[in-house]
Amino acid sequence: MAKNTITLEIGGRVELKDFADGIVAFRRLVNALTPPGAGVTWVVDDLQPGSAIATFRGEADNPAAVEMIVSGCDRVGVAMASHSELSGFGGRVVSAVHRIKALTRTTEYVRLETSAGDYTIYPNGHNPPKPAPPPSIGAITGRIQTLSNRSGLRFNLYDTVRDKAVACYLASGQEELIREAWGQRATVTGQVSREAVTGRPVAIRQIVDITTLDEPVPGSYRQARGVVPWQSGNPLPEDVMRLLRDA
Amino acid sequence: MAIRQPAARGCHAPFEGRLIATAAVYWDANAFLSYINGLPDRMPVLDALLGSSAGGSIQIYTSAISQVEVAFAASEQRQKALDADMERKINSLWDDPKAVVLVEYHDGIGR
Repeated sequence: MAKNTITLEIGGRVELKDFADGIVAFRRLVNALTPPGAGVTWVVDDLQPGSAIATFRGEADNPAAVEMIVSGCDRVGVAMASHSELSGFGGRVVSAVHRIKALTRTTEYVRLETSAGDYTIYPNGHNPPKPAPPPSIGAITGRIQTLSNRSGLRFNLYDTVRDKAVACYLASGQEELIREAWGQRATVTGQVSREAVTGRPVAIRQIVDITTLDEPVPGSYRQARGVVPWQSGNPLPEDVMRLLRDA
Repeated sequence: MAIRQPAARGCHAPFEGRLIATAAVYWDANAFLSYINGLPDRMPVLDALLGSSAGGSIQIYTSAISQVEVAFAASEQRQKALDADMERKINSLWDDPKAVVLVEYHDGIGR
């Protein structure tokens, strides 16, 4: 799985100042994690309208430098999400982390996302009543709306239920799965990570299948009308369901 | 038959805090099974509600679990496996997202 993108999401009611502060703090974090002379340029890979979600892709002659920064972000994310001490990082990283945490004073949460994991930082003492469900194998249906042609390994699926973007991460060599799928309805199967409070899917990793779907035909539900005819003397639907549920 | 109307105009959907502009109606599997059974006394109501949902004046929601229950109940009613054409027609119930909005099942709901 390519480790070349980092996503920042600020949750809740996000004012311009919060978003601006978030981008500045995020830039400081990325800069602090970058080894001197690494020559990495971070370009905007994706911006989600309607949500304060921005994805940045690292470009460098040496891809290992980008991976190192993304891995550093993973370690920082783990520590931030668990409100544990940052160890092994310099003062610049710690300072940047404080700035990112400060955002949660005026917003609901800050989430960092990489191809390896999701890290949601809630205000101190305001963690959700239950932790996010552990990632599990599942399938999400939606429309593939954005696809970076340059990296080719990360795309967004706007899920049918909530019309929110779900970040999908392909492994190297899986590019064929997504070819020709841009703009189409599809079901993506893989390891689904979810947000703690609502259960909303936020990312799919370890993708094993992408099945494109036909466009829905308005009124197609009518094909099901009376397809299994009820006959006099048969149990009513509610009785059949009760029997099944009691079984 | 369970057709519940948990939300009136302008109230919040049970997820995401999203404001629903139209009446939200939850259909249990019974309602869909009645539709595919074509129960004569129920069809006028079911047709009207599905038509209203497809037209946007109300919105029918159901759980992904209903999909499983409906397919299973239909095969139980026929006392044999459904043929491919019948399966396709039953699946068409879920194909029009304007008519029926699926609320997916996940671990958070299961608990």
